[in-house]
Amino acid sequence: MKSRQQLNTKQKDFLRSLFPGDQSIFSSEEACVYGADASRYNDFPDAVVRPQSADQIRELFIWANAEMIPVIPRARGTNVTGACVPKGGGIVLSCLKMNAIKEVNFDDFIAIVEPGVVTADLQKKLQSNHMYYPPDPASVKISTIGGNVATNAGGMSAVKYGVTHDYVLGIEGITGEGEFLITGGRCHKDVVGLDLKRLLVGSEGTLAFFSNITLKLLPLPESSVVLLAGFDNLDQSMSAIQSVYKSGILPAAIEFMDEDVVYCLKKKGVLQDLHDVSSILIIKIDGTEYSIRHELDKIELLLKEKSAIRIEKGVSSEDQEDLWEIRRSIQSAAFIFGPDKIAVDITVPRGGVSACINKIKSISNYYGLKIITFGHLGDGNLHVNIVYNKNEPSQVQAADNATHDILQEVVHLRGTISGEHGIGLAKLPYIHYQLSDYAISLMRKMKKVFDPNNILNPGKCF
Amino acid sequence: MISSDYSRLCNDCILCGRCLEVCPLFQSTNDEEYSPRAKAFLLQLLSISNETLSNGHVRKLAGICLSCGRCTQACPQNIDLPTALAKFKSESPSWKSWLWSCLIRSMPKTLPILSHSAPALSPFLMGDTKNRLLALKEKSHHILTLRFHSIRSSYKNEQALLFPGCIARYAKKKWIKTAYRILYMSGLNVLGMPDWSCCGYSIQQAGLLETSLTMQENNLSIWRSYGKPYIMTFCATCRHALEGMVNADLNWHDNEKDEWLQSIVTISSLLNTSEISLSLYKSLRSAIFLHHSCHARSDVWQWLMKNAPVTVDFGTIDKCCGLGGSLILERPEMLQPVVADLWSSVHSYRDGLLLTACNGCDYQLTTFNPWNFETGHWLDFVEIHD
Repeated sequence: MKSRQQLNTKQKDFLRSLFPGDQSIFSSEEACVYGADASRYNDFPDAVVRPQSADQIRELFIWANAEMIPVIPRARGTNVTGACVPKGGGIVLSCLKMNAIKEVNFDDFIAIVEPGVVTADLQKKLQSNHMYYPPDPASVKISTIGGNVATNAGGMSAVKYGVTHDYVLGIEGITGEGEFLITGGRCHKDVVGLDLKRLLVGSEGTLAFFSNITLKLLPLPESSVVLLAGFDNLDQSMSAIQSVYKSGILPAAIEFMDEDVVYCLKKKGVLQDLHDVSSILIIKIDGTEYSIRHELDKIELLLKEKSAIRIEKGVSSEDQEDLWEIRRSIQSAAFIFGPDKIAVDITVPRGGVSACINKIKSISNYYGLKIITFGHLGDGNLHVNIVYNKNEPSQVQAADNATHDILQEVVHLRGTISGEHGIGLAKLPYIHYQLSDYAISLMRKMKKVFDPNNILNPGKCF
Repeated sequence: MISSDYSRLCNDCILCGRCLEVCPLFQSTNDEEYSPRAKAFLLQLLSISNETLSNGHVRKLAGICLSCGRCTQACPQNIDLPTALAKFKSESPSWKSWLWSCLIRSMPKTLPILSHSAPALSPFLMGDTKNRLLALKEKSHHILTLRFHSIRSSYKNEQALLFPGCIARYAKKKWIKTAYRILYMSGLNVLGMPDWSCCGYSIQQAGLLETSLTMQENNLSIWRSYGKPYIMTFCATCRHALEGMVNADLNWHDNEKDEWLQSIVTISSLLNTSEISLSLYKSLRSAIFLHHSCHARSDVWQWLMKNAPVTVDFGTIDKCCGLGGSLILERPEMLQPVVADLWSSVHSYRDGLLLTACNGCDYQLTTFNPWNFETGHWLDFVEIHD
């Protein structure tokens, strides 16, 4: 990491006047965390600003266009692709002071929130009023709606309820050239003109900053149950889930963990009472008390027929949370296999999951690297962690080659190189595997329309 | 290249951000630079050659921490950030650490005098200094009475020493008296209260590791000299610090660390495993709130919940009181949002009762009580008739 002094005194004075007091930061010691995220990529920001209003942001963007200085929007930096790392410098715009839930309307079934609202906080507030905002990325307790919308976050419940873009009804934002933009609104249907809000969701801060987001809400299901089923091997768990699909039940979530994942969770002490299992499925069903009783009996029977050796049930919200915590622990538990990892989140058509897992196992064997696989079985979204040691040049090369091979195989299986993490910096070298030159050039033209001087989060996404 | 204990302790941080959910400072400010992740990242950067960062500025940020340990509990990589920061501070001596040491060391002598003088001095005291002194005065409550009739404990006839903690020892004699009576009632053979040193927690977190080690050596030596009896505490932080001694280099004998850990018993956990006859009388309508201190075990209130009449409602507050660490010296104004965050969880009551099981929390909660809440250590409310 190199030291830079890109901002001159006049520029700093401008920022201090627009963002007085502790709304702006210039010292490297305080600013450096704003240059990193959970990808562990990092670079030093030249300044950090913490606006409290959309007007401040508009003025910042107009000034940054004139000065040709990059602005990198950021919430809590929990993404794993380097999507908010200020590569090459720039001003980091932290939205954490804009964290109000501005409206929850039970007649319109909508909530209007600022980008810094923590997703789980919104869900908790809604739950007490029997309302539901389903998207639940693994980082749900620590990530924000702004970050979730910018990356079009998915989550465990996507199989039944869809992902973030299915719940964004409207966005009030500021484009890269400093214009206020209102797209969509509080209606659950809207087909007037091009769907700009759909374009903004998942654009990783490259087109506009979102100052207010209108979200669609659902009635909270009356009840839910989470089942953990343990198997002797991965093949059994795959066979079991096929039976569940064929039974006509659509679970709210279906997660799987392969043998290596179960091993590392055991090593971390997360699976203390499940010493005898080698592969795990976690299944959530929700609905009315009556429908759940019926579906639960049916699923339990199917799992036992398919050789489940352990079945744990989480009925209370605390017990359900304990079971989900197992799933959320994987990303960090994987580090028992090595100090560094490349995390990719490929998605293949549902019917291609087994073929994809087998290909990954072959690639793991070929390169002699530990590659673990887990994730959202229901929508074919597999998290693949390639574990290596970056201080061993041969392993770095092997990990890069393995990443390349896996992503090539995914495209060959008519899949996508990212289901929910996004591109950021980490996947940028690979997007041409999936996207044509023409598609990429169209995206870059669209970027120019929203942000003619390329000041918003440059060098990311496409 | 700097290679230090503190950087080694933080090298495993994967920047996942799970600590953001629990850090009282981050939660109350939304300023990422004060988060545990930010500090761990800073220490990682310092461990590689980096001319952009000033050690002095990093030390200042390292001091802005409550040492509550909540990040350690949430960390999937088991990183003990408060200990890493203490080690970093220990390698960056400054006058503030020295001052902190002096304050802690001189406090036992001055506390009782100051607390008795507080009413007379109050017109001359500014801001929360007056409240801090008043918080050290003995309390008499009429709002709640916990009357113990009998205690049948599995510790009967076991030998025990009382470890009351500094605040109790020098300012809260009533807690000690009540604690003794509970121990006698439980059938313990109480050997007394020797001249313990401070548990050392605050000193250690300020980065004064050698001073803290001296205190720990004295406490270990006392325990050995009494034949390794049980050590009974009623302060969550003292218990945490005493248990943490097994991580210090104290010339432990073979298997002695296990013996030490098994000997430390909080009086509330003794009550958990005892048969208690208890009456609870309260003269207020609102719920009683039980404070889960950062260093308390999850079952700290089990004895009370189990034995209280079903007609009594208990609420819980699982928020940091803001007393710990060196924040109060480094950035005292930042206490305000932390304290406000705690009290915001009971904002709709305003005239309730808040019980704690930590001496320091009692001191802090009483000092920064914004409304008409009664606050106190649970020992404040105990009545025992012989």
